[in-house]
Amino acid sequence: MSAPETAALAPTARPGRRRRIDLLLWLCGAWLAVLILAAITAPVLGLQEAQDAAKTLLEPVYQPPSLGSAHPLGTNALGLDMLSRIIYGARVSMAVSISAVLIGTFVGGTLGVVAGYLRGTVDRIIGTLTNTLLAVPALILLIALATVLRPSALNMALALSLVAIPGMIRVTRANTLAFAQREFVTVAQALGAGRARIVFRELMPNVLLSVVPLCLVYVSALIVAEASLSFLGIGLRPPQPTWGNMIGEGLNGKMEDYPHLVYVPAAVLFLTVFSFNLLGERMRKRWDKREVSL
Amino acid sequence: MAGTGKTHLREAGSTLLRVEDLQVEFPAKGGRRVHAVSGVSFDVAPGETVGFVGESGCGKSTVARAVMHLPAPNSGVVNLDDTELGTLSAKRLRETRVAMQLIFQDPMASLNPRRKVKDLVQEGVEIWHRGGDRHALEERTRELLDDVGLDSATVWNRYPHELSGGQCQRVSIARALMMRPSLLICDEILASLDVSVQSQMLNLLKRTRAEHGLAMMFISHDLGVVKNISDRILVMYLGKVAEVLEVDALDRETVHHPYTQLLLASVPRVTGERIKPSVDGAAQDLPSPLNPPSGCRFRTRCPLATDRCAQEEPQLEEKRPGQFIACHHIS
Amino acid sequence: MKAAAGKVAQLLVVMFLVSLGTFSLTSLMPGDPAVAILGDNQSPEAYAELRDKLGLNEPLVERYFTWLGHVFQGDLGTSMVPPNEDVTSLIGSAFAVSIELAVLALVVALVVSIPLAMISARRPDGLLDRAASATTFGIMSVPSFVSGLVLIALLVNQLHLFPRVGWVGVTDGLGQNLYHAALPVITIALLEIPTFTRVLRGDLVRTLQEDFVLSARAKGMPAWRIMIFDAFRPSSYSLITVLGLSLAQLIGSTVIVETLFSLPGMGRLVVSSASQGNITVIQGAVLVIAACYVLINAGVDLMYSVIDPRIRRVGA
Ligand SMILES: Nc1ncnc2c1ncn2[C@@H]1O[C@H](COP(=O)(O)OP(=O)(O)O)[C@@H](O)[C@H]1O
Ligand code: SF4
Ligand SMILES: [Mg+2]
Repeated sequence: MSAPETAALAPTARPGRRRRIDLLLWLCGAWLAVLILAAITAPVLGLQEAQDAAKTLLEPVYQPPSLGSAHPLGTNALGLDMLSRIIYGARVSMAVSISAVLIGTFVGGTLGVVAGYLRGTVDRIIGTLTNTLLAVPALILLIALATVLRPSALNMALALSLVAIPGMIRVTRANTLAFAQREFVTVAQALGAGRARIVFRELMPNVLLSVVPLCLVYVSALIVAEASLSFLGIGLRPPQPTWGNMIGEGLNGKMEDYPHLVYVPAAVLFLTVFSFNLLGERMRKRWDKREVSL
Repeated sequence: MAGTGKTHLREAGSTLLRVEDLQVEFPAKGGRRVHAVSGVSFDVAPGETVGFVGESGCGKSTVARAVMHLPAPNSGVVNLDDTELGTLSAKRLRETRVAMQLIFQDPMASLNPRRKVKDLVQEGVEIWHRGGDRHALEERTRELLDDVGLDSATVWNRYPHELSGGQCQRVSIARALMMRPSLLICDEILASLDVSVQSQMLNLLKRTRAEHGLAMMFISHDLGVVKNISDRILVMYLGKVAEVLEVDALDRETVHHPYTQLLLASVPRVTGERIKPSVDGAAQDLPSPLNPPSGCRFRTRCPLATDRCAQEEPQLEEKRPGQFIACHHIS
Repeated sequence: MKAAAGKVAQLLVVMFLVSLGTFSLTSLMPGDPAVAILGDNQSPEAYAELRDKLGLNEPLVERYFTWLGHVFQGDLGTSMVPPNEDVTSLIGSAFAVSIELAVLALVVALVVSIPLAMISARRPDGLLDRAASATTFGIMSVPSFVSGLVLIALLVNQLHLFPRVGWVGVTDGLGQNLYHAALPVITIALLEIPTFTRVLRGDLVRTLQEDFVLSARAKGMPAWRIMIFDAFRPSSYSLITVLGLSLAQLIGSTVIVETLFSLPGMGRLVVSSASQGNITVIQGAVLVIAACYVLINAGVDLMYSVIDPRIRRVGA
């Protein structure tokens, strides 16, 4: 029978549970920190060969992971070291996705704030543009662009930013509508601020801060999108290692015999995506609480 | 309708701000319109404080914003120092209206949460590049912060959320004074503060007004507070002016507009005893500004209302010395 | 009514912009599109012929309207790659497969997420709720090509439950068709289950606190009855919004699984065309998918205005 206590109450923070959740958060943060650090310092880490198969003729191929060995995460079909391929892959994935999110946030954020602040015709035009971008599913849009663009990291970042832009426009526009109601905008006008100043100095800093959680979620979504494209063989091409084309190497029956080809990059991809998602989610919750208490 | 008419306006040359027939409407659902302010006129002399009183929703804030042209009124004339704001280009308007500064009720919402106190106070100067040399600017900023009762050294690098409501309100005042305005518009600036802080703020305002030679529009729903600080008072009801009076008139034995009467009845006297509202309408709510009553807008709550009040709109007339009242049945 | 007309007008503008964007894809190609498509060891005549076929010798605007005119007649051109099939019929047969996958995946996702959301909402923050929430959060972070590979490893390679690759159309027997569609459908459904569950759970929790639910409860009605007959319908508003959006997105999601399982749908068509630079097929596919999105959205909007669950909630 339904008891009254089934009614939803504010989440009760039991001490034990809180600690566990924070631990998870710290683990995710640590994972991302290590990964990013490794990606940045990859060239000086003295890693094994990641890309040039001519240098690995003498290395074992398809070596399974073995932590004590020279190849802790194993080697692939060409004897290339999986660990160093993972780290160089992180370099590409992170650089491309993070720059795409930055571009998307700046462009989408500006459009969203302008639409939300000016309203009227400008708002309608930007809204139609947003709907147009949304009308083509992200992956299809990326594939269409991959058909005509050279597969370079820059092109990839630009194409991926198109995926982030419509969502950014929607969220920043909504947040702008809320912030523009606040008196500080009216006061700034009374002090003589023009439209450009209101948009860039008053609204943007507030609105952009409020989309940081969304940015983290987009980083993870774009890492997946980039990996999907390389997995499909239309993103960045081998021998350039990316997590997507590493997983793709395991197709065509090789996964059955050498599962580490798939499991190693898949695990890294999962951990990274999970960490970004968790960070975004936690931050959003914290944010919501602060908004309420204000 | 309670209150149109301009007989209470003084000679054009003698005033700092002169507002005629201000009208503001907002679009509402289903093509209807909110008649927020419908034909309000008033003037403010240099150094004078005019109080605006009326219950919440009667259009006080809308008047304040319309005077600043934030946004511009639907119709009406706003003259500041003989410059008609409505005729100015956007750029000239921005330059001109700096002479008027606004302070709002919500202290937190009035300050950009991402700015430090020093940047908030210097914001206007930064916009107009009026800073002159850096050192002098900082000097003046600190001086103003100290003047409004803040310790400039302590708050200098603080963010708004690190300050109390009263402190935020003081920052707002300092920021406004930074522009050397001739008119300060205070919209319910005491309403969200503790009573003890309220009286400190009132004293601060009086001192500041004297030191800077400021004229003020002081808006409040509380007649007691308005009486304390104003030279003249405008009683507003549902977007109209019901009565304009010299503040002395409140201490005289005299007649008032029935709505002013209602407000007076709900102000505790000096003795502390609260006089029972003597007017029946006290309990009722403000009618909707979407569809205001015909004739006198107060008639739905007025104990003296007659047929004439529904047909004909009363005009402001000087019924007693220093008292302009818009009512058919007060002579 | 006026709002509806505005909506329709906006959708038309969106379609126009999509067609414009799709059409200008060719001009994004670096260098000579003919060289890009044919490779650089062909005869000059071959390039010239292709350029002519692509209409590259006419002015841009004219080319656009010629192209659009053909599109309106259902002619999406011919494939750039031998045997140069008709794009419309290529897409037509592939589309049927993708739609089947998308719709089946939607059904599976709903069948899983609705009970899951109800169980979670029954005791918010209880053990089941937290377990479901953690699981869905985890699943959300698994890309579909990873979950697909894991499912293959488990269900195909270990348990031999499903075929590894291949497709059997409905016309060749429903049983075989579903047997081949099962694993791809589950893979796609995994993408949607977390969102559906979270959205519905949130609304259910809110509805369960409303007066009419509390009074039903006070009358001693069993919890599951209240959940299904009283709370579910007024809580499904956000879910419908998400459903409408995701049906169109799902067509995009089929790309990965179709490649993974070698299914002859839109996804595989698009991917293989992309790697061959087969631009006409890509253009056709983008247009068709965008048109779907626009139509589905129009349909969802229409559904709201006909039966608005929020209006019902008041009477419930
Ligand atoms: N931006 C707006 N849009 C629509 N209606 C408004 C807006 N601002 C104020 N109003 C309406 O105008 C009337 C007067 O509001 P306001 O000037 O804020 O009153 P006061 O400051 O006296 O409380 C109210 O009915 C209010 O709902
Ligand atoms: S007596 Fe008539 S005119 Fe005077 S306030 Fe009452 S309703 Fe208005
Ligand atoms: Mg107000």
